[in-house]
Amino acid sequence: MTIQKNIEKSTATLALSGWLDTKTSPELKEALNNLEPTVTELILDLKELEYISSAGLRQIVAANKKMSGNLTLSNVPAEIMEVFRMAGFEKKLHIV
Amino acid sequence: MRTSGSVRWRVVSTFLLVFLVIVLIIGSAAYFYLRHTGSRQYREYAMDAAVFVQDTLKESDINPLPAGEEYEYNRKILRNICDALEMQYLYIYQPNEAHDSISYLYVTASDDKEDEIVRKERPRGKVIPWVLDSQEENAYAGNQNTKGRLENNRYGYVISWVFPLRNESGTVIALIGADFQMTKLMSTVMANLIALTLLLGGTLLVTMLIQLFLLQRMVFTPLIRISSYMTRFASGNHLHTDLPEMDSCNEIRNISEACIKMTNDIRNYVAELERETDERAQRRTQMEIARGIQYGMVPASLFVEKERISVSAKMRTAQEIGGDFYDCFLRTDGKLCVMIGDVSGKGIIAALFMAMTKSILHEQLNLGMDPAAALERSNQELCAQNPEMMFVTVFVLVIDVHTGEAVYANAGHNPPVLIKRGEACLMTPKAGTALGLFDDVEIENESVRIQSGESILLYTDGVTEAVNEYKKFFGVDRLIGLLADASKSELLSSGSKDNENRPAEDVVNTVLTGVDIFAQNSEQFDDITIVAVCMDEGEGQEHGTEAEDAKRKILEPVQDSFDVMKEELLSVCGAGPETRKIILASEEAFTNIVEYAEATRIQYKIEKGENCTIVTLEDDGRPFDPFEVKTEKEFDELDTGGMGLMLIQQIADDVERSRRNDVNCLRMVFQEKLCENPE
Repeated sequence: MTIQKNIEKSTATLALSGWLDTKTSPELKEALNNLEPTVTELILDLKELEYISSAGLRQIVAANKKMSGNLTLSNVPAEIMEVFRMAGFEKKLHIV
Repeated sequence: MRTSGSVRWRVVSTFLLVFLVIVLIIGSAAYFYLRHTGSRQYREYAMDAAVFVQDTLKESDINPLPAGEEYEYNRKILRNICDALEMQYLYIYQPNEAHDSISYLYVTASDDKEDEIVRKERPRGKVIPWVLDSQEENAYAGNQNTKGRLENNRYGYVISWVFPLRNESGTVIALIGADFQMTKLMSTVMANLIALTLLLGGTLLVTMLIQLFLLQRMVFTPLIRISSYMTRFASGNHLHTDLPEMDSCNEIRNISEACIKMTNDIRNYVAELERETDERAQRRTQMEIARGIQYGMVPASLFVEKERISVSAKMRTAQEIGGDFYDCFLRTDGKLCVMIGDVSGKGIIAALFMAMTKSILHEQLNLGMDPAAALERSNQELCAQNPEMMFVTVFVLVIDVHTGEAVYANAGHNPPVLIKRGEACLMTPKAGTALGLFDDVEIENESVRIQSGESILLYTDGVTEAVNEYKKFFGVDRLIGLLADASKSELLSSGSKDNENRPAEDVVNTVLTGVDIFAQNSEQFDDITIVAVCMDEGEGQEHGTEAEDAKRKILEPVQDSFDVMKEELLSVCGAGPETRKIILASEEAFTNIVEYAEATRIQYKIEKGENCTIVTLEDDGRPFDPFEVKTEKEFDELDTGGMGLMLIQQIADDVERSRRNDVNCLRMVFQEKLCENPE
């Protein structure tokens, strides 16, 4: 998995691509931990994401907690969206 | 016989031929009649002349022949007679005694020049050698009735008569010759003949022409029109042109009316036929769809494996759709429900009733009812909605997949066959009553324990009543014999199985092949449905075959080892979204084991079926069933876990947990989805 980081003022965008599974989710965890303290809003661009498992989902929940709800998931592919739906994410998170 | 040529020309040529024949006959008849009449008249003239001569000449005028004035006087009288009676020559002559010469006494001609010539050539008393012919002899003997003689001599074409000349005492003293010019008679005859022929022929011709004209107008023209119309109609290209109205006589009108009626009928038949063909095609399409729907409800073949129980089924309908059905599903309490049924009758009606029965029964069983209760309850529903008095026989079997303990109930269905090691026998369930007829049937539960290696065969009467070319039924005995034999040979060959360990499928195929061989030359009359339920030989997974073992892979219980499994899933199932879901569920299960089971090894097995993928994970960790503890977590607490099992349950169509011989086993079944449906 690769993570591309882009910061604009207080908004950070992380573009995730590839497989976000048990093995790779620590990379996302690290990226979240390494976010500058000035960042108050986080956008996860999932356009290139092919796969997500519960480990990845957990990191998303953690990110949402860290941003106090200011997390936006954008460009969610249908397949990933189905996993969100199964996990009950669609009503709890801000998905555009 | 077939004749060719148009009617018109046949009639015209016949007319002409008849005309010619008639003219010829009339002409020749007229010719002979006229000629006969003409010659008869000449004969009368000749006889008149003879009478005149007899009256005029005395014996003294002959013997001796006078000379001078008297001779000339006599000759003049004779010439007057000759002229008056239209003769050419009138002459008196005398044969000598020896009858070898004659002497001319008087010779006259009507024509002046001719008279002068004969006066010189045949002068008074001229003797010429002449042999008397028969008529002359006749006349000289005194016979008056001499016949006319036709002669073509130097005096022209003449007819002549000869008569005797007698003296007073009646003795014949000379012969009277009377010659008539035939040419003259013939020209008169011909003139009359031509006039007659022209008149008669003309009349005939005019009559025939009028008839031809009428025939042409009233028969030929309409006939030709009808015939050309029929030819065009028969060619099929002018199906919609009408026969034009014709003003004609009754018979032709009848033909044309019949023709119009016939063409209209044909037109209607053709239209009707086209409509029928369309409808038939539509019906066939609908039947195809119905067939699709039915096989959607009751697949043509099925294979289910649960723990040690495997079930295989096959259905083959006699018509497009049928009235047999079976079902096999795992109930929420972990019990396997198997049913088979046969609706009375065949075709659409049976199929509709079958669909209803199957749905109702499935629902009842799924509610957790025992077989008898489900059958009784279904019977009540069927009775309430059965105006056609259809009925259905059903056999229901509910099996505990771990122990092989089975509860069954029969509603009038054929008793199943129990196959043990090397032998087969009929089970003896209570007969029960078929469903749909009486709303107070009593059906009882019975039970049996399916031992290891035993099988139960459920079937419909399409199997036992399959008919061969000699009208013999397949029969229960043959079925039992077939299964017993198959079971024996399987025992002998066990250990070298190449059938991927699917005894249930083997049993079904054995029966189906047996029926096919038996009835190979006969049409299938009834729907054939076969369901086999088999209990595995072994006591646990440890006793699986080598082939089975080969499929199992052993992994280290660390997260990185999942990559091996992931790669295999990708290669077995392909890199599609469905596969990623299977990987997701497998990963969650794997992670669970790694994180919580404290196992020393993880074993996995991937089976790719026709319509499903089965992933089995086994670990030697501590006994636990993650699904037993269901803790509802708040969303914000999900980052600590708890989503994995939820995902597995949502993705897998069937999840099964068990623990045997200190091994935890998790079996996930993923059905292949025909289309993506996020809802």
